[in-house]
Amino acid sequence: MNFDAKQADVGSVILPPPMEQRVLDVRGLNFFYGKHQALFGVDLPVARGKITALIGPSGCGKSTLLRTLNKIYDLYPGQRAEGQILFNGENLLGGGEAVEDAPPASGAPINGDNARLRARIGMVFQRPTPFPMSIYENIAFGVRLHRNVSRAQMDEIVETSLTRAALWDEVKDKLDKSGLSLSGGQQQRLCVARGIAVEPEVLLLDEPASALDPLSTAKLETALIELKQSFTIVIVTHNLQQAARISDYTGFMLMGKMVEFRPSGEAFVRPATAAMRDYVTGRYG
Amino acid sequence: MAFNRHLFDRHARRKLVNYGFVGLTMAATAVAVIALLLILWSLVANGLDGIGLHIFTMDQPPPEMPGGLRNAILGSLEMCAIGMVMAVVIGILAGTWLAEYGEGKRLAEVVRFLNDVLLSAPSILIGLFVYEILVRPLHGFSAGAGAVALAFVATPVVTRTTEDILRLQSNQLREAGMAIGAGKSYVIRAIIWRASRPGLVTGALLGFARISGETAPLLFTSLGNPNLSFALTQPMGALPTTIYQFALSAFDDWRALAWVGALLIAITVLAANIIGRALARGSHQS
Repeated sequence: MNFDAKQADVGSVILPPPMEQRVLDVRGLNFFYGKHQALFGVDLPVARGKITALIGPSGCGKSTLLRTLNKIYDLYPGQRAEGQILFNGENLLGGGEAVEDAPPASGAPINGDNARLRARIGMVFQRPTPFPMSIYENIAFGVRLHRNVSRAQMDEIVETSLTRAALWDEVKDKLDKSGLSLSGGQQQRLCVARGIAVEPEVLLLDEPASALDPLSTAKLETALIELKQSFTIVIVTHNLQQAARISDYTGFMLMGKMVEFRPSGEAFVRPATAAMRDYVTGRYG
Repeated sequence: MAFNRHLFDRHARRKLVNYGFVGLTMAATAVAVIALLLILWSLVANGLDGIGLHIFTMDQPPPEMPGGLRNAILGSLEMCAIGMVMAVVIGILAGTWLAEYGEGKRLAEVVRFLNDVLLSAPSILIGLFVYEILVRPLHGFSAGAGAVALAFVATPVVTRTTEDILRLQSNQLREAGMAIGAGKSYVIRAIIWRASRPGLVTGALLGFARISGETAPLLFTSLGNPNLSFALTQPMGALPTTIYQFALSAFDDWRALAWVGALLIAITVLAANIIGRALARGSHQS
């Protein structure tokens, strides 16, 4: 794909994945913290089975955008979102009315049930957030919320989840120890394991490596690339190398707007907008 | 040169002021610590001799007769225990509401303010209040009324510490619980309370330490009882009321028992405070 550089420098450049691949499709999203508007007509198409990275300077709205995808923001009374967030073709912000030109439906509808939504869209936070219980119970906690499983099945789920999060070998002999006894990097992978134990379709990660040392970061990235086989991943990161290393699509945001959204390879090699070019070459933020 | 001397003077003056200030704060600390040590010393010096097994096996005696403090010790334990159960249940629920649901609500501000008022209210007023609502209408002093009065004293302590402790938990932990699909109240009960457990225990222990020596709320409610009684509908002996009665008496052996009772209370309060603070410190490290 070739760009007319001059034209591209002006507005925004969005090169989305094909409609039928989009498990999530955000359209014209406005977001408000009380009276303060943080997102302005943002589009974000998320392809199934891919890693989508969101980058941009601090305060550009990338975490805000991520937090709308599982509607975690509605914990806070003053925060609200307007527009469309299509999950498997169903508008999470609507009253159940049909949406024109939507991606194909899949799975049971959410119908405004946040528990059901969050069982299918998991989240890992910036700082590790292990629950104050054993490593085993950390994983079992979420599973029990959504399914009835026998002890033997639970053992299996715990082992598989920890293995997929690349943590099993380090903790298999101390599953009954507190999750808080692990190192920061291990805690973060425990949170990933906890998230995928529920078997969501999408996993949201909000700067998951920002509190980790390089070695822990590498382990986490390896785990994420493995996880791409079974999950769709959306990751917010300040680390451009990380975004370039692991993501398939990259969205660059600036001041609450999606400026550029393209396959990562092209986006990092030849940014289409002046703003992203300045950002990836270090002239911003 | 003149500039340098000026600079030196300024530094010297600052140093002097600093020493003076540090000296004042150290003196103030010394006064407080010495006062505490003197109190403890007088308790030990006067109370230790009287301590023996008979204190725990015999009830309080008539003047000039051998006896112990069993009725008062057990009465104190019973009323404190019942009062603490009430205070912990109400205090933890109220503190949880203030910390987790009261955000930005007018009602929460009012409740928090009233709780602070109750926290510093003279405990004799609480005794009089319970007298009006439980003793007079029911025509009799009772251990139940005493326990309720103690609960009124301990509840604001537990409410306050619960709110403070829950606010220390990060919002990310709450979000993590909800992001996995749990409802808000389940996140609070299964995750936030569990993460705050050492702090909640500390709050309860501080509340207990506060009420174990309270005399005023009991004077108009449980009154005191020289005989051993466990009935909630009857007057009941308690260490503070017995101390109050014995310490003012003209009999040497009664006054000796009062010292023993005071020593027992001091040990209990000290132990509760030390355990409570040790637990609180442990929770910050994990």
